[in-house]
Amino acid sequence: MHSVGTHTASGSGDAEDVRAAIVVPTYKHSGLLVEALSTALAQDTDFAYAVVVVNDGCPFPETERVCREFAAAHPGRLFHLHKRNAGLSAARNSGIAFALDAFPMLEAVYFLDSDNRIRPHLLQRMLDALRAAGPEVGWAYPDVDKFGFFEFCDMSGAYSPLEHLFRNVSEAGSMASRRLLDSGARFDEAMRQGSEDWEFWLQGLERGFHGVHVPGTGFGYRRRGESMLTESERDYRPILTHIQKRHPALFAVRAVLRAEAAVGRRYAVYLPDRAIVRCVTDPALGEEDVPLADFVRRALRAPERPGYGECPGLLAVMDSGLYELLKRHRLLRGALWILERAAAQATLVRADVTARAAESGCALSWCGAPVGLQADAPFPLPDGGAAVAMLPTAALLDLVRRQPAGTPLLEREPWKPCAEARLSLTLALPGAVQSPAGADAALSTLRETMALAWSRPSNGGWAAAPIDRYRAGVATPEDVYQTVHRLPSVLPLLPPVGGRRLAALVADSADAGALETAARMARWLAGRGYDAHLVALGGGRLTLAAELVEAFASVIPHPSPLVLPERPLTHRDAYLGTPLRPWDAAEEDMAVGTLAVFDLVVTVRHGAAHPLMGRLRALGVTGWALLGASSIPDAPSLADAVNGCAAFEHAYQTVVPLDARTFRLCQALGFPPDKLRRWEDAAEPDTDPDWIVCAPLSSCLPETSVAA
Amino acid sequence: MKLSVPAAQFASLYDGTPKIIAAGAGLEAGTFPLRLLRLVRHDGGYLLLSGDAEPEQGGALRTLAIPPTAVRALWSDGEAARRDAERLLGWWAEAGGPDGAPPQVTGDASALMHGLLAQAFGEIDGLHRRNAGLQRTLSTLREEWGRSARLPPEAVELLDALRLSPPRLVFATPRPVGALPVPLRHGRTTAGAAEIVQRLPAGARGLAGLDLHLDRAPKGSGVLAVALTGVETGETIADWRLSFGEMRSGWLPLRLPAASTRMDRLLDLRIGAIGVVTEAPRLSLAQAGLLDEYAVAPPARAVGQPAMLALRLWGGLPGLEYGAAAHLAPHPVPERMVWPLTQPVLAQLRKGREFEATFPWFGLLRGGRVLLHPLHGVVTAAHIPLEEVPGAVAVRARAVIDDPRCRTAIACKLVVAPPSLTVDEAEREEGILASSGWMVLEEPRRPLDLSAVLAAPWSGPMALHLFTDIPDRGHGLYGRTIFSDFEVEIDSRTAWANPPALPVMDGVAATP
Repeated sequence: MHSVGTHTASGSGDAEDVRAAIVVPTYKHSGLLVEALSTALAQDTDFAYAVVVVNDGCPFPETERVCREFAAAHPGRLFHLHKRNAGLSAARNSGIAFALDAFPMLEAVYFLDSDNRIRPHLLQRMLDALRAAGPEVGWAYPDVDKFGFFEFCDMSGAYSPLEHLFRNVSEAGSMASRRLLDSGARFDEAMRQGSEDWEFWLQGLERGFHGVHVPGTGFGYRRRGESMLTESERDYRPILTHIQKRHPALFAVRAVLRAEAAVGRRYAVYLPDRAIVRCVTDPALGEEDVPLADFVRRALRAPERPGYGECPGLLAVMDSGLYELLKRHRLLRGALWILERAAAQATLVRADVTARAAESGCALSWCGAPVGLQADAPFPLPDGGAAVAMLPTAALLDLVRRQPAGTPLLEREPWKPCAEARLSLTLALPGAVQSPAGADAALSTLRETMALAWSRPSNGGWAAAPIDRYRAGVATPEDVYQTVHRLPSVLPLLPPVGGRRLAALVADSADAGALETAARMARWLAGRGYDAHLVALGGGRLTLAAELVEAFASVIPHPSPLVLPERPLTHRDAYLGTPLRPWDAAEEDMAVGTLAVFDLVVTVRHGAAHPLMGRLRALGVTGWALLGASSIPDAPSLADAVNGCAAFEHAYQTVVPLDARTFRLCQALGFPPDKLRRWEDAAEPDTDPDWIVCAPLSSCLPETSVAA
Repeated sequence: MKLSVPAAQFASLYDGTPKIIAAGAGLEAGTFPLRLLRLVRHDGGYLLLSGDAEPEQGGALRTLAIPPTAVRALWSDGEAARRDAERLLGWWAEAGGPDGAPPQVTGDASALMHGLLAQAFGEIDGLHRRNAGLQRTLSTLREEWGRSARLPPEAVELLDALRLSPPRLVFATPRPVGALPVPLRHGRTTAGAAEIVQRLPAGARGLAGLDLHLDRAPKGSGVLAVALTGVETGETIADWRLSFGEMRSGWLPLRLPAASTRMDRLLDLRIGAIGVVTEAPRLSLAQAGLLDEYAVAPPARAVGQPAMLALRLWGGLPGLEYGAAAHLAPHPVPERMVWPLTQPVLAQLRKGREFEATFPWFGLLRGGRVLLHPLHGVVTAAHIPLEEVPGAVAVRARAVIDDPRCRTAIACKLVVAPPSLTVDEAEREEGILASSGWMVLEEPRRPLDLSAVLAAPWSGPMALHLFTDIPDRGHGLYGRTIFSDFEVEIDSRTAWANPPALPVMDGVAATP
């Protein structure tokens, strides 16, 4: 290898050959700049490269002197730009603009901050990686070898777009390809508190590029007690909010869910009768069957090596017959989601299942109770008669690694209120047969299989290896959704293929009239480009006739509360005399998580759902409220139902009175007339002239939906 | 103001070559030993041209957003030229910020010469001053470093703990299950020779040495060459040369003169051999298991799985030389080394006796801690089977009552025994290898170090027995006793069949 940074007086001739530029922005680092520039000039490459140092209007004269002297000493290799101070991003952008203008054969730009340093093979290895990569690769990123406060951050593993949404895996000390720069990606000059590098690579992601990790480059990052990074860490939340606003297409709930499904699967469902583990996020859109031995290896590797999303975060156990039955009746997604909701409150979730055949329709009932509330005593894995079990994969791995032999004791995760959630599911479905209650035994068998594999020194011995595990571990939905949307998780319902939209009809499972209205609305929406799902929010018992079942793309029961007993109200809210029941914070998070994946949420005479709509609106969900009289016992009066919605009217885009009387009440209680719509398929003939001329609901639909 | 330059000259405006910009036509190129740029009006804006060059018709131009670098003066020779120069300076302040513009000089060539000379002498003065300042800075730094010790952070940590320890086992592969012949080069031709490359699962900092396992010693004459290289730098950190005649099968200890102070994060071991043999040396292989990214190159299999070289890594305090020399080498190698018992080993923990209790009294907790709660009226027991540990001379652990509510003294004991001994025999200390004896924990949260020292080094399987008891025969309420920090001390001379090898120093192999 040799450096081809030639040394001539004019230097202009060399610019023609330069293939890579190292852009070094500098501001108030005059004492360290020499080190950065020396390492930049000492690269061992088989191509010509140039160093571009950009003095970002540094007030210290020493900075300019260092730049000037290095430029004089390395004509044709080091170029010096002095500009008015405008921040790190602007300085890097000036360097990029200069490099693109000055070097016609430029293939890539490497960014070196003036307090960092690089080893001599970095530039060659980075550019080699970019050259070897496909056109989808827009940048190459290194491991981060921090010095000062020493720490090594292993960034290896396949690039995960999902991980990049909540953790910056590409330091600024990375290399941007010419194709990424030509696509228009530039540093955000409004970001002056740090993390502008994260935002820059996300621009690449948004433009369809990925990164590629390059090992062994020797990128040295100076970690000091106080730095731009530490300030950035303090301002993490506002910075993340800024980045999210810059990239709504990346951070929308549905986009994140798509990214989640692209990098891995959320659930690993062990089907003991088939000796496989079925990995799945949305059961309607793809499953991966993994032989048990392969899954065990994948799971045991997860805490050792980076590889975000390779191992599902939640492990379920059930018989394949039950799995297929739930899937056939489009109940599987909802069942897995209920288990996940319970797993947010308990370390271990077990469910008894009683199934019987019905001629038609669907009847199901979920209920739950906590076991070991706030108890700290470790407990053995149960050997009872549950048909379904779920626990975090990390909890099982912890058990396997700590206690591969003997009777293992599971410990309650301290942040969860109970050790075990015991659920009960009763099903009456066509073709249903009672499933074997073998989940407890199967879970123990799975644990033993994993423990046996872990006990082999060639596997378990790696736990002692002194390697960086910061990015290792099992991926959980909370990693990303909590950081990005402040939600523990979201319903794993992926947008369907073919550009159809997703709608949720939110109805109380105890209100048969509301369920019928929801089914009619589902059919109406289906003709307008929507896949409409029923979210039965409230009680756990749900009965649907066959024609109602067919109206919905799937049924998602949402019994609330699910595991913990309902807490007594500590305060009551009332809006103009109409009582409103506030949500428990954890239950509210999960309810929002259930609905956040939809384009449209329609509450069907469901007062309890109104308080959720503000958060959903902030997440980009459109809200409609269907209001009308209810005939169920203990239902609020129509005036109270309308007034209860009026308290949250701001969160809805559209309010749909189901009859003229409700329409008049809406007007009386101050709903903006422009929000009121008459649903063409629902309105009974009426003589109220204002109601007759009320704008039709179909006018609220996006044009594409109306066309469909 | 729009300022442009021919595209071919764009990059050179920002290099370090000293330049002057001339507005007006009174200065010829070559008058001064600086690069001359002429400011000319062009197409409603301005153009910077190099020397006597004229603008090319239709030639590509670049508009400047940032002022040129290393411009020593802006010269103008008449009223119109002065106005152009002032416009340029206005743009300069706007684009480059305050204080960045070059000095403006008006008048004839001698005025410019005078200005440049004044600048040059001023800079020479500045250079002299800075050079003096630099000397003084270096002198202060040398003086400061000569006056105060700079301890590595690991040493500070160690001193904080008020204990010194010998090198410790950092990583060990499972036992060897295969072998790989070392590629052999004959004679002096080394070009293109193959070698074995093994990535190490540890960085250089604190690395005190490593063991390779020789499945079969070579027959013939030659040298085994083992090089430790840093991947990021490509540099050789240590280079061991071992003569075939002195190699025996078994673990081959390769040591560094002192635990490494380098910061290399990725290390490769490169192994080859030179010589004439009837049987090439064969290095043992272990299964790479879960992390096959650490498999050896060229690829090999061990019982059907990707393999890596069987190895052990030893670590210590960076820069520290360990122990007294036990051979004739010019550098010392450690006599004692420590083999910490990590979670995979501790996971083999078993109850020694079965009891029923209404609370958890036994188990392996996070962080490699063993819970052994004493029970009323009995001596509770647990044991950890150990596979072969070579040359064990002592076993140590730490015990503590973990519950601050405990008001009872708790007795505890650590016993080392051959695996064939029963729990009762171990408790009675019949036929054992070593015992700490009963030690009494008088109060909660005050740990005791237990040490069982063997009469002679022991190589082979053994069992560690743990016991707790309540000396006053009370109920031992809240006597949640935890054992932790298990480690085995080993004797280097007994543990290795081969004497330790040190890297080549100044081209001479420092073999024993």
